[in-house]
Amino acid sequence: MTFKQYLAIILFKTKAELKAERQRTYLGFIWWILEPLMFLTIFYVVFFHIRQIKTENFVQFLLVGLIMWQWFQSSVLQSSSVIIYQINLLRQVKISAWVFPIIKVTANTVKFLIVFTLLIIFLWVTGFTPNLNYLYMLEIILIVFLLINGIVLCLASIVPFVPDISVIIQNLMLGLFFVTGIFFPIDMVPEPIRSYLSINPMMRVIENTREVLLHSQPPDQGDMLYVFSIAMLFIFVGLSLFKKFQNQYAKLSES
Amino acid sequence: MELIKFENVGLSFKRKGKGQITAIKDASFNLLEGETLGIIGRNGAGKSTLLRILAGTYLADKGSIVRNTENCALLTLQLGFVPYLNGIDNAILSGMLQGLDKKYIESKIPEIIEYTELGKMIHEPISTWSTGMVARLGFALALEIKPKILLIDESLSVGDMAFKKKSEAAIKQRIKSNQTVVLVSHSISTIEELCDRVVWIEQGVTKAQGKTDVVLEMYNNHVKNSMSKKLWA
Repeated sequence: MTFKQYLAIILFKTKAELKAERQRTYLGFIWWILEPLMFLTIFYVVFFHIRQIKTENFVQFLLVGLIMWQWFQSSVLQSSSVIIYQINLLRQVKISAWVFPIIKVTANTVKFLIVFTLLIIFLWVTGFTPNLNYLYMLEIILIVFLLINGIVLCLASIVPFVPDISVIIQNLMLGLFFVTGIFFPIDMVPEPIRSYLSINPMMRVIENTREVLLHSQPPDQGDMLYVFSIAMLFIFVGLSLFKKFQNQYAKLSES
Repeated sequence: MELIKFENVGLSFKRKGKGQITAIKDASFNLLEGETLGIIGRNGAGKSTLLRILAGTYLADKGSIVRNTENCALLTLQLGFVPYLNGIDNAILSGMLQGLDKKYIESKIPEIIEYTELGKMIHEPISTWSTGMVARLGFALALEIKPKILLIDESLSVGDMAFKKKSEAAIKQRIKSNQTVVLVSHSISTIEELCDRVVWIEQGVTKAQGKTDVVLEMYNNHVKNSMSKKLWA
């Protein structure tokens, strides 16, 4: 199959996946918005009222972090174990296995974009008027998209052989959630811990997204280059792993 | 012309904590252009595994395979079907996964609707269809896949009684045409009717290859012998 054919499959299957998801529940695509809102409410109550973390515009601050995180987390969690469900298919047709995790990521990205648009509207209503610096969001979103794909490719290529990894990923994501600076500003953290925490590319992404959306500042291009480099490295490693293991997935026993 | 040649091909599966299972130990045979080659053998002999090596979805780990064409595909039914999608979306998706162009499948939709007699149901999610209806769509789509070498595993017919006849006839017509086919079956009568040559496989080893009647006789004798051995043991 050619790259064009793979691209067509990714696009069509993404559409199909979203359609199927919409039809599976009563509320359909309203869930895509309701879910982060429920999330937000819980964290608002816990961190603003119970933990008393006081930051200016805490709701907006939290919302930006949560929405970016949600995109990252649900993509990684849903995509990394996706190959196991395609083993029967891989036995019947010659198709590169990497398309399946990518499809999950693109489906999650579409959902993210809808929620993100609503976020922009919400910010506007609450006094953060969109300005030219908002265009930097295109850069940030593109880089995060690459980062997610890279991480997902690396994980999805090895999870079929060692399913236990998906348990580790789940717990790792939970841990990562607490150190990514979603509900606290990074400058609250003392050095040297702060430097360690900013190794995490998602931490830098969220910081910079806030700079753009809440402070009308361009993102730090050093940070952007850092995240982009990590993304490309992961994509390269992930695709190499898929190339290496392509012929072995079909031979695995089905789940 | 020789399209594919297997020489001493072997394949084994790794199983968690159980070491290796050797499914194919030593398979040697060739496939000629335009012929229908039958693969016969008992359950667990390695017929389906052999077919998947031919399809290229299993990579052999022993021996050599010479291919004069890569255009070789399994006849698959309902590949990649998603329950919540309607018939058209499923047809497009399944076709694309099998290497067809999206536009091509779209152009074939009216034909498929007519052939399957699905009518307006095609716009409903296939989870609301009967098993027979899904089978019909799967079959109609399979007929659209036209590889140089068609690999068929067992089932020649699908759906309810009326459609069974129709589907069986369509496949048989396809097999009897100039199409190169590899047909796996444990039904001797099917092999006898459709195949020019037969490969007999037993516990992962190809025992014989040749004209249908010759190999079938050997196979029949072997089955009879081993059955009487079992009876007297």
